[in-house]
Amino acid sequence: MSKSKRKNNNSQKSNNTSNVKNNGSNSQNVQAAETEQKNISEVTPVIETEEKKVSESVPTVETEQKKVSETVPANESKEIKISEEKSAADKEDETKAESVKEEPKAEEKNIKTADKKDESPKKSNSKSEDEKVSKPEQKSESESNPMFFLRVAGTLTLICALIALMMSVVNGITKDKIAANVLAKKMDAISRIFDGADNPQLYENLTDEQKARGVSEIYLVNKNGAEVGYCANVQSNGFGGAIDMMIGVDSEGNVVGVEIVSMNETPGLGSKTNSESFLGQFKGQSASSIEGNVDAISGATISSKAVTAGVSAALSVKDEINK
Amino acid sequence: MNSYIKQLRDGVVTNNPTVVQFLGMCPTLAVTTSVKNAIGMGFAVIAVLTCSNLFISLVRKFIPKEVRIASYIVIISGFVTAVELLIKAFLPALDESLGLFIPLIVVNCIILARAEAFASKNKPLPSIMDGISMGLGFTISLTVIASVRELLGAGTLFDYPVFGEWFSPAIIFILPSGAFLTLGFVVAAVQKIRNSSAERKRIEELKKRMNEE
Repeated sequence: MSKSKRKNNNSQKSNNTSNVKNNGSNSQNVQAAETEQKNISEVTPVIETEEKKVSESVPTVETEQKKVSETVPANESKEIKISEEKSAADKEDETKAESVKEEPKAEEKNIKTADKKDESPKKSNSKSEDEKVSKPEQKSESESNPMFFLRVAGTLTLICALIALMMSVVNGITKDKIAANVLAKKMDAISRIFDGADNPQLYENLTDEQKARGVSEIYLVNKNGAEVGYCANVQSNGFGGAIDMMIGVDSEGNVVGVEIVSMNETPGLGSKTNSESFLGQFKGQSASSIEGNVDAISGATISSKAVTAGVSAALSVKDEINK
Repeated sequence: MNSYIKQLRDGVVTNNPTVVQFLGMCPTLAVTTSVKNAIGMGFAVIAVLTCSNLFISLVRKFIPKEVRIASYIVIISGFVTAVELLIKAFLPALDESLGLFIPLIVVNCIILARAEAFASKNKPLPSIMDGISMGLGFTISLTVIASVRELLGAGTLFDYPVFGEWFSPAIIFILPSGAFLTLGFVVAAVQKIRNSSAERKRIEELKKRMNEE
């Protein structure tokens, strides 16, 4: 008998304290959630008040709140009568309502309260979160669904359309310039490798199998009208993404030179592969001699291997070029 | 004018997005391997942040709050893509050194955070100022961290060798673990300065109150 008394007293106490606060729900949960929100929002506390942020910065919870709107108006009214709690029945804590009744009835309810107490903290948890967020929700909930839906979807579509328009304009302005830049970079690399070639021609018959090896383009290089070799544009997988290289191969199948067009390797480690001391050791190598004859950069195994693989791929297409 | 100066101080010192708010940690740790990268990234972020803050502040009254995050992300990624294309076309040298980091600005939390916390609630001019000040704060903290990491980890500053032949660099500083270490020490130093100045203010206030009594 005393146990049930204590339980009822406790729930009555929490009842009273929650009655004193605004929302009439479990005040502790509201506070805990609020302080959590405050902690997150303290990070950007510039000009607005913190209370505003608490109610507005919970985007994910907003979508689930339709059920609560009934209980909210009842609780928001400041009349804190116990009968109010009974009227907001669905998610309200039944133990609280029961504890208000006379104690003789407590014995029967004892078993029920034991069960309900397990459920109620969870319910009041979600409910307090619901309540907190549903305040700003009320405005939009009151609109009829189709109008609301149209407004939201329409604005989002409009914004996406505007941004897409802006991007197509920028793309139109920059597309040719970018293509020209890329081509100029490649031509520069070829003229550096082959020391002044005239007008490299793009090789047209690149097979998919060759492309799968990483060879994206081949330029046939002539000097003074005679064919001197070819220059392959190869991409291989480095540590920080693709390494884009230009490798020059002469007509005997020896490497003339290697240039790295772009890479994203770790500065100070993988980036050391973009140095004369590393790339220089490829000069004169052929497909057979390259195995085991390249010194990697210590601490940059993956980058070194990637560059070597690219050079090997460029050498491998030597006999496969049909003009 | 005063409020703008206050905003500037806010973004650079009291509410620095990197060392006080801890936003944008990913680019902070990834880009600070060299001072050149850090400064380049910082300027790109200033550009994107200012433009997106301005745009979002202009349209803040028309975006329903249920889709605001989605709208902000669309706007921010649009601006970042535009900036990336423009850099690729007209500043190819900068594109080579920054490369992958420019598209990564889209997921930089600072931009979304400032859009949500400031630009969506304030007028265009203060929003521009906020973008500039937060971007500046980001750039400065990035540069500080990058100078430590590059100096100790590669012996150079801005690709100029500083120390000479005798120096054997501590490679850990250009690796990710060094990033965390350096960040931790920098934040600790900043906190010490902040706390000591807060202490001083508190002591002064106490003295004032004692004198009044």
